[in-house]
Amino acid sequence: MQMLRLYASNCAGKIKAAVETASRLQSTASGAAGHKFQTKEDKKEGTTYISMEKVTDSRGARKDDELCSLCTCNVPIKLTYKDVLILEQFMRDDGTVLPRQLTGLCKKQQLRMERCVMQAFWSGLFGDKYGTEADRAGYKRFNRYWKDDMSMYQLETKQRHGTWFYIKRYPTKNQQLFKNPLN
Amino acid sequence: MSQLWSKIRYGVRWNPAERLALATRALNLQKVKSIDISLDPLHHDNLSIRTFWHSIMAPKVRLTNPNVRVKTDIRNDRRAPFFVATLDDGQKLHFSTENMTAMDVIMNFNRLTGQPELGKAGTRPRAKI
Ligand SMILES: [Zn+2]
Repeated sequence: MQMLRLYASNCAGKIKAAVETASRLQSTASGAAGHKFQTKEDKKEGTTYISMEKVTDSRGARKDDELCSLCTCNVPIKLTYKDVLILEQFMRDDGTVLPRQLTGLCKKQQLRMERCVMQAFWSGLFGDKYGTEADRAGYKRFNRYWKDDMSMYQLETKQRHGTWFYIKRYPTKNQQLFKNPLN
Repeated sequence: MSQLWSKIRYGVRWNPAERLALATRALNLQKVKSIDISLDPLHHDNLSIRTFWHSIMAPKVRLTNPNVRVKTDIRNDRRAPFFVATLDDGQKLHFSTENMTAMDVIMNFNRLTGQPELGKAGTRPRAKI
């Protein structure tokens, strides 16, 4: 980002465009006006030449009214952790989630997708497809199931109906245990 | 939130500084014979090659192969910086580091010299001298 700012100051007026495109950059190095770079490797006569070549972004910056792939009607229902086949499309082979610049989702859907991936791991729906490296130690070793993606954050206590009712049903203070003293 | 969460989200947040630090840990000059650095200090994009130069001069990296000859040519022609690394088997690596970040330089260098691109995180035992 610092580097980007440096470049942006070179071409005043294009700052906004640079920032817009930078949010979609995938390459590690970013230049002025959103040019992306990619490593190029040439082998000639025992010498390997490594340099950066310029790549143009074919899609350009996202427009304001452009919807992401989960907001449109392609997926009419809300994404849950049970939609494993959809979730897998946003994941790498090692079980990590792709960044938003690559998935092209909006912020809301990206976070929901990440939560769902975690829940799918925790509920054991991926099995050992992505290895057993996922941290399932302690209380996480049990499979767990949720109502929806936000219920991870809900700190609701479980209600056991009737407990209080049965405890305080009868007056318990100063009661004789046995009516008959001979007993 | 938890280890599980951060593990899944590992690739979501791109952290160049962390990767640079891990890449410099993996630096190993065992297969390198010499490195010739050539840069113009007044060129606008020479930070990456200076970072690379600094990190191969670190004592721990130098100890991996004390026989590496590092030669530097400071130019005054406003051309792009580059360095040439000569390997033991006569192969040469010519890096033109313009538009590269230091992380790119070191990760590519590691890969082409047969080292892992990123080193291990965490505390390391002290090197035995
Ligand atoms: Zn959306």
